[in-house]
This record gives sequence, C-alpha cells and structure tokens, in this order.
Amino acid sequence: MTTQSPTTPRPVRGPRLRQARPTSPRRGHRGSRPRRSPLLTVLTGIVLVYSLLPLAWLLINATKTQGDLFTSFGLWFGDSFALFSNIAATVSYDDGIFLRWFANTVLYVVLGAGGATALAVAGGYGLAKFDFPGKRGVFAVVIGAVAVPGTALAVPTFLMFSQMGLTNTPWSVIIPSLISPFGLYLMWTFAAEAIPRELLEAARVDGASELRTFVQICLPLLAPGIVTVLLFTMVATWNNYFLPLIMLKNPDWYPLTLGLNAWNAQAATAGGEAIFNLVITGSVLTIVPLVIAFLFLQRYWQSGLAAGSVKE
Amino acid sequence: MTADARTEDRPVAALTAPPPGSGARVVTTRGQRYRRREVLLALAFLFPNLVLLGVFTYRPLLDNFRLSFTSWNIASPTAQYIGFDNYVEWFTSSSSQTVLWNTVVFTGAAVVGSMVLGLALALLLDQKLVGRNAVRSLVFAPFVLAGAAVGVAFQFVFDPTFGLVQDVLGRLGIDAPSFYQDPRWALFMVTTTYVWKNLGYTFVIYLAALQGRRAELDEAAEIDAASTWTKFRRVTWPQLRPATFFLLITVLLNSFQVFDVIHTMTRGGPLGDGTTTMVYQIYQETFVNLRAGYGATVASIMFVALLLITLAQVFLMERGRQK
Repeated sequence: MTTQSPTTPRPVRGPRLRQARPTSPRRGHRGSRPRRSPLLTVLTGIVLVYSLLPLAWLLINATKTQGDLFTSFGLWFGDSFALFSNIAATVSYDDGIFLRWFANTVLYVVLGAGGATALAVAGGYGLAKFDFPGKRGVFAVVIGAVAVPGTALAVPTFLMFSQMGLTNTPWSVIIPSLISPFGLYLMWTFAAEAIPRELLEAARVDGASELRTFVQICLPLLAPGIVTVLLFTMVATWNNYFLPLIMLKNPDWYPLTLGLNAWNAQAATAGGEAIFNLVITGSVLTIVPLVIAFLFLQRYWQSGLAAGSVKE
Repeated sequence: MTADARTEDRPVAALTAPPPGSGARVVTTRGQRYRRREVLLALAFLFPNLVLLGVFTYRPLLDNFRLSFTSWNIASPTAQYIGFDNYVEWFTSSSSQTVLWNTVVFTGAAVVGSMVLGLALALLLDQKLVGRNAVRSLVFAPFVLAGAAVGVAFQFVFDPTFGLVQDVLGRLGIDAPSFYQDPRWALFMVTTTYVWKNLGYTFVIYLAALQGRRAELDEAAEIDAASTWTKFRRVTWPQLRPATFFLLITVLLNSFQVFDVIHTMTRGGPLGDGTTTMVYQIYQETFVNLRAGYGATVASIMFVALLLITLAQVFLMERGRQK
C-alpha cells in the first residue's frame, strides 16, 4: 500500500489529527546552551515534591504498625517494618472480606471495562470508516454524551434499575459501565488516522469478508488505541465509587473503593475497632495494580492519549 | 489468489480516485449515494453503542428533567408533580449559595491549579534530565489512583493529632489549621487533594503537546536570541492551544463531578455543607434526605450550567482561532 499519488490527496474521513511519530521532525537536538531560569526550576522542584511526597507518605506508612502510625514521623519508617504483617492482616480481616472486594472489583473491571472497550472499538471503527446517512447526527450524539456528566444521571439511573429489580446486584454496576462515550470518541479519532481507506478498499477488492478485514487487518493497526481505551475504562471502573455507592447495599458485592470507605467509617466511629493500619495498607493494595498496569503499558497510552488530545 | 495481478492496478485506481459510493463490486441502485452494504455494516458496528447511549445516557437525561418537577421520596412508589417548586427552592435557599460557592471554588481551583502546575512540570520534564521517564510515570501515577483510596489515605495526612501536615508545621513552630472543623480549610483540603490527584493528567497532555511542537520554530527563536519568557509566550504557548482547550473542557467536566474524595474525607461537612458541591448535594438530597425530586432538580441545574460553560468555551476557542 505505497500509493504515491501527489495529485489525489488521501481521503481522510473524520477528524484529522497529528500523531507524534518518531520520524517526524522534532527538536530532539536542543541548543548547546539550554537557558533555564533558576526561578522556574525552583518552582517546578516544589511542584515535583508536591506530586511525589504524598505517594511516598502512603507507601512508608503502609509499613507501620498501628502504634508507630501515631508516634513516628510521617515521612520516615517506624520502629518495626510491618508491611507484610499488615498485608496479611488486611486480607484476612473479617474472614477475608478484602479479597472478596478485590474479586468483585476484578469482575466489574473485566466485564465493564472489557465490554466498554469492545463496544468502543466497534463503534469507533464504524464511525471512522463507513459512510452512511445521518453520520453527522451520530457524531453529535456521541460528542453530546461525552459532555453529559454521569453523576447528573444518578437519580433516574437508580430509578430504572430499581424498577427492573436489579439494584443490589452486580449488574447494576456492570451494565452502566458498558458505555464509554469518551472511549468511543478516542477510538473514532484513532481509527480515522490509523487505518488508510485504500487498505480497506484493497481488502474488499481482494474478496476478504468484512469481518476478516476487521479482525485481521484493522484490529492490529488499532492496537495502541485499544490499549489506551482499555486502560482508561479500567481506571474508570476500578475506581468507580458513586455508582456502586448508590446501587449496592450488601457489603458482599462492594468493590474495593466502597469497602475501604466502610472500614474507614468503622475505624472513625467511637466503639468501632481501630484498624487504621488496615485502612492504609488496603489503600495501597487498591491502587497498586493500576499503577503497575500503567507503568508497563506506558508507551501505548502515551501515544494513544496524545493522538486524541492534540487534534486541532 | 488473484491478488498479485491486482496489485499492479492499485496505484492507477488510486489516481483515478473513485468517489465514495462507487468503485465497488456491490450491486447498488443507480444514483444512490451510499452503498447499502456499508450502511448495514456501519449499523451493525454502531447499533449496540447507540442503544446503550440511548438507554443509559439520553433517556435518563430526559427522565431527570421530568423528575425534577416532582416531589418524590425515593422510598415511595409514587412521585407527585409540583411544577417549578424545586427550582424556586434551590434558587432562593441560602444553602444553595454555599453549595454554589463551594462548587465554583473547587472547580475553579482544580482547573487553574492542575493546569498551571501540570504545564510547569511538563516544561521541566520536557528537557533532558536524568531519570526523566521514571519521574514522568511517577507524576502521572496519582491520576490513576482511586479517589476513594486517596481520600481515605489523605485524611491521615491532614489529621489534627498525628498528620503529616500538622507534624511538619509543628516543627516549624506553626499551628496547623483545623482542617476538619473550619469549612474554609476543609474546602482547601479537599481541593488540594484533588489537584494533586489530577495533576498527572494535565501534565501528560501538556507533555505530549510539547513533544509534538515544531522544531524549526524553536530554532528560529534561539537564533533571534529571544528571552525564555518571550520564547514561551510567542512560540511555545500558541502551539499548546489545542491541548489547553482540550484540558479546559475535560478538567472542568471531571472536577465538576468529583464525589469520592469529598465523600471519603469530609462527607460534605463540616457544619453540614462546608464542602458540599453540587454533585454532593445531588447525592445528599436523593439518597440521604430521600428527596429524589429535589436531587434531580440540582442535577438538572448542574447539567444546564455545564452545557452553557462548555458551549461558551467552544465559542471562545473558535473565535480565538479565527483571529
């Protein structure tokens, strides 16, 4: 597919976007004397501390016993290194309810974020690569939905699920997670750029079925976009709080976020068992899986996100 | 495979540039602009999305407006139509002023704070530094953290008896403000926490925009020996315009909806509504006070306000671009 045709510009449907390609001219070679204002450096140093210190605090304090938590300096380790006993206590407390919450979260993420990504890929591809009447209307519907704050729909959504008798079941958390307007938008901009139209024409001329074209030719080209959308829908479902809070009453169906809050509320009430070390260690265990996922998939989401946002 | 023979024809085919709708082996009605097959395929790919958007976004949106004109105890089966009473109540009640003020302060500080700080960090980390990639990932990390976990953990940072802030200020001989009793400091606390969490997002977007900027403009500025500030103001900042616009809209939409940090840290308090924003008020009225109709009213007002702000942003951006 190297059609060098200067007379016919490539037909680009949908939005144009600039992608950060490694081959594009960049100012990788800075001048030999990069002037830097000392003031800016100092200010940015402060911001850097601001952005890293709380994370350090959290990790350090997950290694402390309940006693050390209250007596030792917040930014240094306590007398004993209790990280592993804290983890053991967290996962075994109350018959291992934390593991149950962990499994619930994984269930909601796999079905909710996985489903949302699959739908966004199909929809973005359909929007970017096919012509049909009413396309502008569909764009408007998608963009409009990006601007609708999900929290503003809490009351009618609860009403709908309550009428269907689905509140207090996993479905009330999974089903609304299936739609991600932002993911759909991101996938559409990505597919418009990543799949040349000639490639599809060629595949059709060669007699490949549409499904085969989609699966064997287009999906690999869409991979960075898919990873980006998957990561962001994962963050949304893993961290989801408002929706499960209004839908779920039974702690057995709580995701980690709600469970942590329940522990926290218990620790703060008079007479409740003080489990502050479990609350902190639980917080760390809740955030670590996503941080690891993002670190490992860094190069995918950075390019995918850049493509979606730098568009003019 | 007959593909080999056809490969030769392709450049020619591309040169003659078939208009969309022709150049196909599909049987089409003459004069029809769209290929039926394409339309059906598009429908197949888009149908589930459109159904879900209809059922879980647009229908609830209309439903919400309907409910906002009712008095409805969420525990009872029936809602009673009361016209504009809820709206009148919201716009005349004194607690709405507090809620509105909290929302404006929280959202404004979140947008300005995280964008300015994110840009500053992106400018610094765009340069060559040791361990740059690791630092980038660390700065981004807070964005993916669960707001609930952050809120739960940050209570300890701000704790009045053993928290980090109290500890550090104490060593400097300063009395820590009472973050959990004084509404203004409570609002400051949840806002700083959210800005911290959101910083990674603005940083990554600005960094991507910085790395996509054009090399020759930078070089031209360096040849002209422009000062750092002039170079930023005249060369870099204009190129960051699309990213800034994108961030303005998305950060505003996101920070308007922050709930988890507030719910875990302060439950909307102290003094009842010290850190209650509009989103928190929706929750409080609907699910705690059981006034679902009134909650829907707050949601409707919030939705219309957000829509107007977003449209104004798009309008200003378009006008700015045409200049």
